Amino acid sequence: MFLIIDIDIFTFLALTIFALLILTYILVIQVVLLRLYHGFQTKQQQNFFAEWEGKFFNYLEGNENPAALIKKIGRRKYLYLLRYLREFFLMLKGEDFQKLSSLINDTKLQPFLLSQLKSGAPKKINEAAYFLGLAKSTASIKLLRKKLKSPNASVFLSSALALARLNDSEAVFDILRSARRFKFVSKDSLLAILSEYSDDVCAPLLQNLKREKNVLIQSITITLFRHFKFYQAGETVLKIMVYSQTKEVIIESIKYFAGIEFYEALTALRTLINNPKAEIRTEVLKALAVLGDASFEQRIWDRMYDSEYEVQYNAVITLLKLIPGSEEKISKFAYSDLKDRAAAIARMVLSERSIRN
Amino acid sequence: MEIIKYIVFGFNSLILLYFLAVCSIYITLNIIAFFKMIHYNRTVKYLDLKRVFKLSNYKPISVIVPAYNEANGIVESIKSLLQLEYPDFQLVVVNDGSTDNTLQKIFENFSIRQVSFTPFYKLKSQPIRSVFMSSEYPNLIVIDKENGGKADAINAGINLAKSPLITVIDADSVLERDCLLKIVRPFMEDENVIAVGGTIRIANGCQILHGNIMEVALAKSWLARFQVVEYLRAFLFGRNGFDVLNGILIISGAFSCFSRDALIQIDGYREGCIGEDMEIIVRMHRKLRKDNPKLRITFIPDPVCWTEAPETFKVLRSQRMRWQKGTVDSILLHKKLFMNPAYGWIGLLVFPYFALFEMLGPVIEIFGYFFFFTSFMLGFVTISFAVAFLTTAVLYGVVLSVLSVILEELSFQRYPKLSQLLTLIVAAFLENFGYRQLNTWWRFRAMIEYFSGKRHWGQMEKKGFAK
Repeated sequence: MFLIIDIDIFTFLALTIFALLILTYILVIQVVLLRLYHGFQTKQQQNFFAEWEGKFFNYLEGNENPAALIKKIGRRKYLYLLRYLREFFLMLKGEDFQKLSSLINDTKLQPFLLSQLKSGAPKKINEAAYFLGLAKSTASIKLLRKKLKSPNASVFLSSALALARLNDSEAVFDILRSARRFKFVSKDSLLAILSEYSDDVCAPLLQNLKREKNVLIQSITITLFRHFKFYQAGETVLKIMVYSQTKEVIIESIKYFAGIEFYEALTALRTLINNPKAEIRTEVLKALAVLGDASFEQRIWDRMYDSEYEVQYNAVITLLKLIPGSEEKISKFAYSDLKDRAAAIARMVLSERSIRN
Repeated sequence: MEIIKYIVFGFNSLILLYFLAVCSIYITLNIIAFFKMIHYNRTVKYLDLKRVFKLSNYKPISVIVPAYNEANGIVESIKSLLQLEYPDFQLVVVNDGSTDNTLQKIFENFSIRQVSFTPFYKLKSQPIRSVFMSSEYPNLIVIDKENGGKADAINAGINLAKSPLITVIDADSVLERDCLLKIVRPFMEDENVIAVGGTIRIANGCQILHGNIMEVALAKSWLARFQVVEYLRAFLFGRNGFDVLNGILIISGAFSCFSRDALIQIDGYREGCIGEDMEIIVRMHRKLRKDNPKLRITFIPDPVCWTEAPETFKVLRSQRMRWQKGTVDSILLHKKLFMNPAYGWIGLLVFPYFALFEMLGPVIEIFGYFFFFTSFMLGFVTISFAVAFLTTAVLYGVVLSVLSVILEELSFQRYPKLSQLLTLIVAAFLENFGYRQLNTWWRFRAMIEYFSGKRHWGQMEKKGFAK
């Protein structure tokens, strides 16, 4: 009995060892080859950068034709050139930026990147979209819009980023809607992309917000309005906030009102100061520090006895910011009862203030 | 003789089954981790974190640094921590009754003044003597308290921390500048997240200046190199894999981030616990996730923190024995989770995995060696079978270690030179010949010590980073 099992297991083990040996060998070879290839490319790239540096600055300062300059570079090295130019795209402005963009838009680089964009390989598409977006290459808009429908999330993200950099306002709704197809395209990723637009995007977004029911899109749109300090959306956002049941939308709205100093929202904020959600109460207090006046004093004092310490803490801060001469009153309160939690928080805020001043 | 034969045969079969189960679990974890890494890299590739934090609802963080007799490095540590990139963070240094001049050093370097502070929460901790703030660095708070151990010091810090997120780090950890930006993202994206851990790397051999990693390199000592591979394996595929099942049972104490409310709800860290970093996570699963299974304890694969690894057998042994005792302690304290369907995957899969493979693993392995040797001596197995089985086991370990190096190469590539990569591959081979078995032996001894009542921490000497 032992012998039979022994032989069977032995065969199995021998095969396993053989497979593991082969697997280990392949893995090691693969990783070393990958590294060698990467190292070789890095070296080539460094040489190219060193060689190109002088040429690039001469081009920026002189009148050299961009097409003639790019013609001297072999197609094989286009990627190195693009990588070299990347930092400059993020830094340069005005005339220098125009000259830089010409290196892509008025040369063979543009058809090269467009052909990459048409390819089926996500890596190529992502890279092409990235540079076409940076160079504000309007010729790529049509193709990029198509790529928003790609089932590949990275292709969607890179195309969306390029369209935002190209300030293609029409694409913004496609971006917002297509994003919902992907589980891991978060609100943060979308905001990072959409903030690349200029403030022109706010007007169409406002029109859309009036009928938008999706709370994520509502919340992103309002955040963007705050980012661009877009005052015209105040009334619409106020209506949305009043009827919204979603914490995120309400908080974003409050932040927006504080950000653009929208005093018409004060009445609505007055009602939200007693909202059951502590984050909302905290945000209202922060907004009141910007928008409020002395008529809110008693309501804010009441919040110093809130059940949540963040609300209490922000109540003290808001009082100090909002009510002239409140420091004396808070000081008295702070030392009136050493065991009281609200007084302890007031002491802490005063301590922090004194040390900061 | 027949009975002995059957016993030995039965046990050998069990060992074989155990080995196959371990292999299957590790292979599954590797595959899951591989896809998770691809997914993660795609998600963050197009994110400019600083831009996102300018726009979004970032949550303020309190970074708690418990310090006990850290006079030599505390000033550098605080200076480096104050440089972390995050829009709103508070640094809470807790001097846990140091007997050296830790507090004096802080006084001399950070213009701190005593302030009136009343703890907001009442987590159990030794009395706080005084609280200080710095006029030079408004986000620095120093708590001076009576000695009570690491868990106690963290609890004191939580009681005074004012941010909704709490990050706990070791005073001698070297952090990546953008670690807070990275660690907070899961909290921003999902409000059910209550704890997040990140990848810890070995700093031995790296060039460190003013608390920052200037150049990543490998240590000269092979012992430290083995630990580099070990950490890659543990973090890149172990935790990544379990994360998919929401099954993280341990977040390294060197760097962890929690929702303050969650910490308060479970009454903070447990005092007198050997492995407080594992215990708190298991307790979070047990106390919080039972009522709300949507809550998540998650992990980001980015390297966020670098730590010093022991370079002598004595210190390494002490560390590993402490870790094992910590694992046993946490598992026994929360044995109610074992095979308990009320806790979902955690109860049915992850906790049993930790109990059977992490806690009992060394015992089974040592007994396995013993029975295998006995079988061989008694002629129950042939020499060819014995050699084949041991070779398979070792080769399998090699494949796993090499895979973790590959995962690192495909994701973060933090070891830039080819020579470093080759050294890591060699270390991945060599650690399976002696180092792994030594670890097993230490962990086995830890089990014996634990059950015979020796449950103390042991000494952990650190030689400090070369500046």
